[in-house]
Amino acid sequence: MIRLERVSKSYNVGTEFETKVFKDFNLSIENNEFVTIIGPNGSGKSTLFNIISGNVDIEEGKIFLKDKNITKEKEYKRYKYIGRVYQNPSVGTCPNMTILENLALVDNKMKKYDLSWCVNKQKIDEYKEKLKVLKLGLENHLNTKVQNLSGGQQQAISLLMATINPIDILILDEHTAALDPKTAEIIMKLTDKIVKEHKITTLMITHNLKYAINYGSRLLVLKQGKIVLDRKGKEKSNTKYEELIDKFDCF
Amino acid sequence: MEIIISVLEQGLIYAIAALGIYITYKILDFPDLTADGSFTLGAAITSVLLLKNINPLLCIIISAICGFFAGAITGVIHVKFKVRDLLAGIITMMALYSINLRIVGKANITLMQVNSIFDIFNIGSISNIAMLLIITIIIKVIFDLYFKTKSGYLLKAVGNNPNVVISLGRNDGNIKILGLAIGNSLVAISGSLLCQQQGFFEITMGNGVMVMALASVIIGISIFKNIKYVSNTSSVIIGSIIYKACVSIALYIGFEASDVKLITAILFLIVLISSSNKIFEKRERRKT
Repeated sequence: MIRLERVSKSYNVGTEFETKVFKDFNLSIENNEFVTIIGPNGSGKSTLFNIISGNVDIEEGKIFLKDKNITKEKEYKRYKYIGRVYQNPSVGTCPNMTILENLALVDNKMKKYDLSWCVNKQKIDEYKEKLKVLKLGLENHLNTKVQNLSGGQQQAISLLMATINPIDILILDEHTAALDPKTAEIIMKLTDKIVKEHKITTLMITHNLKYAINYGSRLLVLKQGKIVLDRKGKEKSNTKYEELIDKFDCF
Repeated sequence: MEIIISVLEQGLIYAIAALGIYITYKILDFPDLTADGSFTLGAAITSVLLLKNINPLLCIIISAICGFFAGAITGVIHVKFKVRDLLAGIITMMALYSINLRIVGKANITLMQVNSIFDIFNIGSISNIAMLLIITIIIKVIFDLYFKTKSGYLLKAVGNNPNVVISLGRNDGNIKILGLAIGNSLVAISGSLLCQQQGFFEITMGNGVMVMALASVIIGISIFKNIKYVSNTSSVIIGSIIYKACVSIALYIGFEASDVKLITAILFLIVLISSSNKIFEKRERRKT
C-alpha cells in the first residue's frame, strides 16, 4: 500500500543544529495493515507522518502509494486519499461550525465545491445514523457548534470526518494523547471498529504501550530514525510490556 | 431631516464595503488593508467610465471586477510569496494609489454633469435611498446565499481552520485568494457608489475605509450578537448606519469636518475596547 524507499530527511541543514532524522530509511506497509508505532520523543515518528502526508519535503528517496510515486505531490493533493486525525482535537474540525455543517463540508470531499447548496437536508438522517455509531449521543446535537463539545466528542467527530469518505490510508497522530483515560479508551475502541469495518490501512503513533500491543496487526518501534523492532501477528500480540520499556531506554 | 438622509445614504454605501471587510476580517481572519486602495479604485474607474457616458450600472460591475483583481493580487502576494497578511495589503494599497491617479489623470474630478445610477429615477434624495436600499439588499441576499453554497462553506472553513480544507484535498491558499478577491470587489462597489452619490472623485476618498468598515462590522456584530433572528449581514449593514450616525452627531455638536478622522479613530477604539471582553473570552476558549 505505502512504501518509503531510501528516504533521508534533516532539519536545520547547514547550521550547527543540523539533525538527521532519517537516513536511507525504508518502510513498506501492506494493504489492510494496522500499524502501531511507538518510540521516544525525537525518534522521527511525527516526521514520518509528515513525510507521508507531504507536510515536509524530503531530501532524498521516494514515496509510493499503491505503486504510484507521490514524492513530488503537494500536501493538499495527497489528502484526497489520506485521512488524518491529530493529537489536538480542535485541529480536525471547524470549531465555529455546527456538527451538521462540518459533516456536510466533508461529505462533499469527492465532489466539486461549486455553487450548489452545501447542507443537504435529505442527508440529515444518514448523518444521524453515522453519529449514532459513535454512541456519544451526538445525533441529537447536529446544530451544536463543535467548539462547544468536549475534547473526546470533538475527537470522535474528527475521526468520523477523516473516515467518512473512502480513503487508502488513515494516519492517527497520537490521537488519544490529549484525552482522559476513559475517553481515550472509548476513542481507541471506536478507532479499531471503524478501521476493521472499512478495512482501512492504518498507521497509528501512540505513547500508550498497552494500545500499541493490544491494537493493530503490526508493531514498529522507532528510535533515532531507525526501526529497532518490527513484529506482526502472533509474535506481536505476545510482545511483553517490559520488553518495550527496555527497547526505549538505550540512549 | 437632511442629516438623517445623508446618514442613511452614506451608511448604506459604506455598508457594502463593511460586508467586504466582514469577509476578509471576520470570515478569513485577514486584516486586509487593500480596502483603502480598492475603494478608490472602484471610484476611479467609475468616474472615468461615467465621463465616457457608459451605463452607470455597467460601471459598478466593471468596478467590482477590478476590485476582485486587486484583492486577488493581495492574496497572491500573501499566499504564493509568503508575505505577511498586513504587509501584502499595504503593498497593494500603495500600488493602487499611483494606479488610481493614472486611471483618472488627476487627484480630483467632478461628476456633476454626468448621469449616475441615482439619475435613473430622478425624484430627489428619497429615491437615492430607495436605490441604495435596493442595491444593498440585493448584495446582502447574494452574500447570504453564497455562504450557504459549497464554495461558500469552503471559504468559511479556511478562515476557521485551514487544516480542514487541506484535509479535504483542496488548496487552502487559492480559497483565501478567492475570499480576498470577493471582499475587495464589494469594497470597490462601495467606492463606485460613493463617487456617484457625492458627484466627485478625489484620490483620498478611500483613506481609512478599512478602519471605518471594520468599526461598522464590530458595532453591528456586538449589538446584535444575542438576537437570534438578525443575520450577521443585516447586523453589519445596521452597524454601518449606526457608525455614520455617530460621526454625524459628532459633527453636529460642533466638531470640524477635518476632525472626522480623529473621531473615527476614537470611536473605533471605544468599539474595540467595549467588545474586547468577548475577544479575551474567545482566546481563552481556544487555549483549552
